[in-house]
Amino acid sequence: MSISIGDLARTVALTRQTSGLKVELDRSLIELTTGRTSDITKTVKGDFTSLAAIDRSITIYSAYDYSTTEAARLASAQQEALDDLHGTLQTRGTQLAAAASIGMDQSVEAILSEARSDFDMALSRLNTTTGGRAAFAGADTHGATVASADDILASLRTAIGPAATAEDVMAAVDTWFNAPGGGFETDAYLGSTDPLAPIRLDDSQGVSLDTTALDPALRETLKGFAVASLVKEGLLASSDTEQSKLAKIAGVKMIGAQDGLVALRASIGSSQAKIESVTVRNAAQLTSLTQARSEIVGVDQYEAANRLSAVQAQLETLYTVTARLSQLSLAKALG
Amino acid sequence: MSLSSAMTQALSGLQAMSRSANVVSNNLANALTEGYGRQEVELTARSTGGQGSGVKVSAIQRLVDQAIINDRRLADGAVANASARSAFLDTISTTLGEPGSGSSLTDMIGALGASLIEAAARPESDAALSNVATAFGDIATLLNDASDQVQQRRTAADRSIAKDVETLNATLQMVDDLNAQIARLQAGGNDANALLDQRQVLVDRISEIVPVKQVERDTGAIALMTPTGAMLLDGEPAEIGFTQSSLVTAQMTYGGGTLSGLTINGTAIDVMRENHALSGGSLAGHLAVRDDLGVSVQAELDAFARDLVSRFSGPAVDTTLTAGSPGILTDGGSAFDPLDEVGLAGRLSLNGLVDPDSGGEVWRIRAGLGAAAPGDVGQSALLDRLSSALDAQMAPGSGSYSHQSMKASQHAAELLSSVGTQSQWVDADLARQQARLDVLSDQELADGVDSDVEMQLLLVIERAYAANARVIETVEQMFDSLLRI
Repeated sequence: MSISIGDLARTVALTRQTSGLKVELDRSLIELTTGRTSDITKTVKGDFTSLAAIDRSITIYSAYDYSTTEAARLASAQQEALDDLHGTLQTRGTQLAAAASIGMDQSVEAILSEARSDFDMALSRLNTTTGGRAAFAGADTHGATVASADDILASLRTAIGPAATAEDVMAAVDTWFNAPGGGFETDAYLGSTDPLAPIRLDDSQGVSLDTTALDPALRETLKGFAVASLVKEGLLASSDTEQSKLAKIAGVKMIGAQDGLVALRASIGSSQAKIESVTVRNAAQLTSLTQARSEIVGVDQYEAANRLSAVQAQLETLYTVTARLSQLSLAKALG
Repeated sequence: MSLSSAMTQALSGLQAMSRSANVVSNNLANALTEGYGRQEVELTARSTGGQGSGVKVSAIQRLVDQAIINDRRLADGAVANASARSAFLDTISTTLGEPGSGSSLTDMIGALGASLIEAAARPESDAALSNVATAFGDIATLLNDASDQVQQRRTAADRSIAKDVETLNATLQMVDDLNAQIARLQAGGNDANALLDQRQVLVDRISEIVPVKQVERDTGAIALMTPTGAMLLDGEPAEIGFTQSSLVTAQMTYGGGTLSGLTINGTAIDVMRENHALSGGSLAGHLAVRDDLGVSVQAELDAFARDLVSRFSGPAVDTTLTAGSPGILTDGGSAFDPLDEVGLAGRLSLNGLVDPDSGGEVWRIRAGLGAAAPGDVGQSALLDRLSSALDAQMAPGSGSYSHQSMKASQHAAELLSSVGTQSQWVDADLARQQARLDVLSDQELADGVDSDVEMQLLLVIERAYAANARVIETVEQMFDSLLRI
């Protein structure tokens, strides 16, 4: 047992304790003000895999928020366009079929004029853009989806040629619209043959909004209007009978086109429902992920405040002790 | 038993007391000096011919507990060793970043994933495509930085090894010189305490570099031996050899023969062994950084870089590419070569074809690297495939995780965790060694100068001196009376 204790021993020990407490004080201060642990590496013991996975998901869900919004917008634009088409088909179709049964007269002429406006409207609906992207042009979202009414009618007239009966004309029109590589695909459709790729909604699912103007149902909707427009501009003018037959066929076509359109709208509708439900689920996931993250790195601020005052008190005590001990020396006592 | 002998005895008492006062004042002056050994006067009674003849200062002892000092030196070495390794891992950890900070590797992989999803939702947007290019570029830059850091630290470690070796050689020589001087002084019966203090400080310096055990030889000289059995000084100082490399690159390794090892007196030691001859101190720490940690961290970085490059190459992802042509991430502009993986992380770069700063076009991210024209602006198929490639469960081609299928984000997290856990472990080790060092230091310092004790001693000396002086005065009076007869 030694009879003496070196001066330095105490000095060094006190210094070490003081600096240790100061570091502790700084740490508690940071944790109190930020609400987060000051040393994440220590908290997770160096294993970042869970935290990194949560962070990644949080970032990605924010991106999915963007893409689900885009998808919703596109689907909505498509649905609205088709809604307008649908309404007109029903109205004009019935009007035309009824009026044309009677014969070519002024009322039929009037309806045919309306039909021509409808044709323009239908084409402009197919040219719908949302946020600068064409909705029915497939991957070529820049520029127009379909050609102008005049260009289409001109091409149709060429295809129809000298056909003189309503049936022949309709057959030529059908071929022009439906044939692969035919007039519609060559002259009318300006978009891409590549449909839009599925849009991602979350890590495992996407939604296909790949309807283009090439869709048979959409082609059907144009046929009636196109033929009515042609009649309005004088096709088969030589025969009143043929003309009124053709006008009636156009009206019937319009009514018939509704079936395909309804099916198309239903499929877009279910895509919309899917987008909606995934959006809601993503939002819920984001909330719970944010919560999980704060559980890993968060600090209870009440605890942090307590710790801060405890460390403060300790440091003050240490200062007092240091001051007292420095007074205790024989040299001082000897005067 | 005469008056004159009384005088002589009293005089010897005065001398001894003034010598003691000298020692006390020396102790007090050095109360705060580290490495100073507290001195104590050893007094013995002198006798001439069987009769007492006063007091003699037989020695001035230097009081140190050599056992504690030896242990403390081992702890010094251990702390220096752990510090070197900890500093390296901390630097790399900081460069790779902390998840959630926004600038970490995992954050950037997340940002890349997000940018690909957003671009796929709006492929017409040049801004969105630009973001994808930037995201790829940022990842390449971060990996470049990390790789550069690793190699810079390895170069610095090599430099530190050279410095340590130089210091070690010089200090061993100085200790040898002091040994000779001390032996001479002690042989002549003189007090060599000041030189002993100096020698202790020098050996402390050596211990940080390579912890040594001090073995006393006769004549006051010491021998220095490492715990693993190498004799660094025993009559002759050993010569440690090392060749510094001016620049250390990823391809240069000790195992590959392109970096220098250590020699003791010309004999090479295998520094890759766990407890080689010069282990335990900062020298071994720097070697660990250069040859062990530095190499393994670089390998993990390279494996991650390889994983990324592979995910985005090949015609399966980008139909405009041919097999063998570089993808969106390149090895310095070329395709990845499996034979040339070392250092890949430092050479990783964004393909110039999509980098506007290098004359590239961002639409190639949408249309394909080999595309001649921008193509359909709404075409998101390639972007979607890039997105899938990032998240595909693939086993990396090399590295510690090559047996596991994982997404790129998981691989990044594993990389960060690997460095993170190693860093935590070394930090814990450092804390442990530091705590041990603190305890031993405290014990060593407790043997130091206690100024209270010295003051007490001074009181006693004062009194003894006064008593001896009184004796002399009295004897002188007695002489006077005698002479007056």
